[in-house]
Amino acid sequence: MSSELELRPLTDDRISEWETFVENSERATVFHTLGWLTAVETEFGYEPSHALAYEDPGDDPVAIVPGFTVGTIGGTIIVNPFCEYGFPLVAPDSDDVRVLSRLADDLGFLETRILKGVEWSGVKGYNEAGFGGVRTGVSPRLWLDRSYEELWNRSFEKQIRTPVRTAEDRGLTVSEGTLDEFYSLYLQTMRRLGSPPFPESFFETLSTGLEDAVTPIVAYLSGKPIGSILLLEWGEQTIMWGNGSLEEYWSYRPNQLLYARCIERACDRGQSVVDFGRTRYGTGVHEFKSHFGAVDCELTSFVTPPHRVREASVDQYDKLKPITRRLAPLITHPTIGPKLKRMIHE
Amino acid sequence: MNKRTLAELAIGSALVAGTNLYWRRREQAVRDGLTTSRKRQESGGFQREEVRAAEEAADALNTRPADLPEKVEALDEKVRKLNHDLDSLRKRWVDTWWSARMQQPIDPSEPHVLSITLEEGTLSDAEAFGERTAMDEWGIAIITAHADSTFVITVGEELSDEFGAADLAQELSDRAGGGAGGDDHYATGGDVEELQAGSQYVRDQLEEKIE
Repeated sequence: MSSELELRPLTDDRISEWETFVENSERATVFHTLGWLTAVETEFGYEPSHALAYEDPGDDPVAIVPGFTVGTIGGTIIVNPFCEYGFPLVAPDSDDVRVLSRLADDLGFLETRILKGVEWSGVKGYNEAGFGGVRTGVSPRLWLDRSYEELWNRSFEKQIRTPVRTAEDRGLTVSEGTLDEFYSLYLQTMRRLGSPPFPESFFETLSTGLEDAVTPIVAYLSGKPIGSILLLEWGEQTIMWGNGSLEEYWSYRPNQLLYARCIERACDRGQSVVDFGRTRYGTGVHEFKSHFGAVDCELTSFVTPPHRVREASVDQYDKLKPITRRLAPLITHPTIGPKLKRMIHE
Repeated sequence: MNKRTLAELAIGSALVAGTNLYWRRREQAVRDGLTTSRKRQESGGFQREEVRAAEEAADALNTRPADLPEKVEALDEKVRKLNHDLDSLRKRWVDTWWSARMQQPIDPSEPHVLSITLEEGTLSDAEAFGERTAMDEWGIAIITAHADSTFVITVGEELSDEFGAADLAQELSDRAGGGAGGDDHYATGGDVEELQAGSQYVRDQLEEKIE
């Protein structure tokens, strides 16, 4: 039996180790980068609890685990909030069960750890390490191993191709926009859905921290922004992470055109995958995304201790939708909304 | 029992019930959570190569990947049916060959009447035979398919001035029931009630005339 791994917090003197680990990991996402973690910390004030795991002091880390300590009723949760992929990055030749077991052992009495996993993360030993799981949706992903023309002809269904042509015929144009344009549309969409929005400053901080990786793409009708998607273009992945559109212009099909243009852009930039972001399986949004030929990747949050698995469930938010839509003006108020967002950390 | 005792009992009962409920819920959460994490550990998700292979298969079958199971099932059923048909055909071919082998040899340069009985054959089988016997210049063939009560009559070129295939078929049909039609060289019939007797009658008549 090998000795126990040593967990160390991410401190200033370990920043370069963290960054090197992320750069060298094939599975890393933008949500593992310091740019993301710093933006979350700066805007929401969560206590950072990122950890590096070592076999032996002095060696390179064998795993890194992003996470913030978030207060809840009767305890605390360590989680990488607001993102789809908060899983640990484990070195290819290391035992993920050992890493996960060590994380579970490290918890205090009222602490809960949530790790947001996905099939392609390379980390599978959650059950063996005693983590409970709860499904939180799917993330459709489109592999870009074909040219855009091939994707258009073979992957996109007619439910996409026809509206894209309609949007083009009606004079919609798509180009890089500003964060202000994106945020205005995003906020209106959050109001329509009755969902607490991120503060605008979070996107600005994220944009500063991640530099070129954050790009708002905007659809215009005669110069007026009517739809927008925020892209996180990091490594070989493009994640469509936030969007917004004006309902009264849906007949112009801005969303289909935006998604198609974002995919075309990812192809042009040589990205290997476009990630459509988390969606509830079987919803209209899921159906819309699946028309692009994307393949669903199941998202599961893993929780230790396992009896607190409900802490990671997102079902409760769905149940509240009828109420939150009525309370939308309050929930999306520029002062109250971000505070609610901080509380629910999803 | 005074009020205080009752209150204590009620509080005690509520505590026991609450504790019981808490542990049940906790146990359920652990069970559900570990089941989900076990399933996730066992599943690898879809790999790109697998998806691309499914797309290629769908292209080859002119369908969508989502419809592949249905398409494959239909194809499997079709293959099973074809295999069954092939087995049946093979048996009929052997029976036919054996029957022919046991008959008296004929002189192809003299007028002759051939009677071919396909016990398990259908009109398609009889027609296949008919295409061949039609080339027999000095022969008249009566091919009966008993699986669907049909028949084919062919008359060779050298005998067609004297005998018409359509007339012979009509004669068989008048005698044994059903309907018939065709031309001087080739005729078919169906729905015949007394196929064996009818064909035998026509054959006897023909042999008399030829002799």
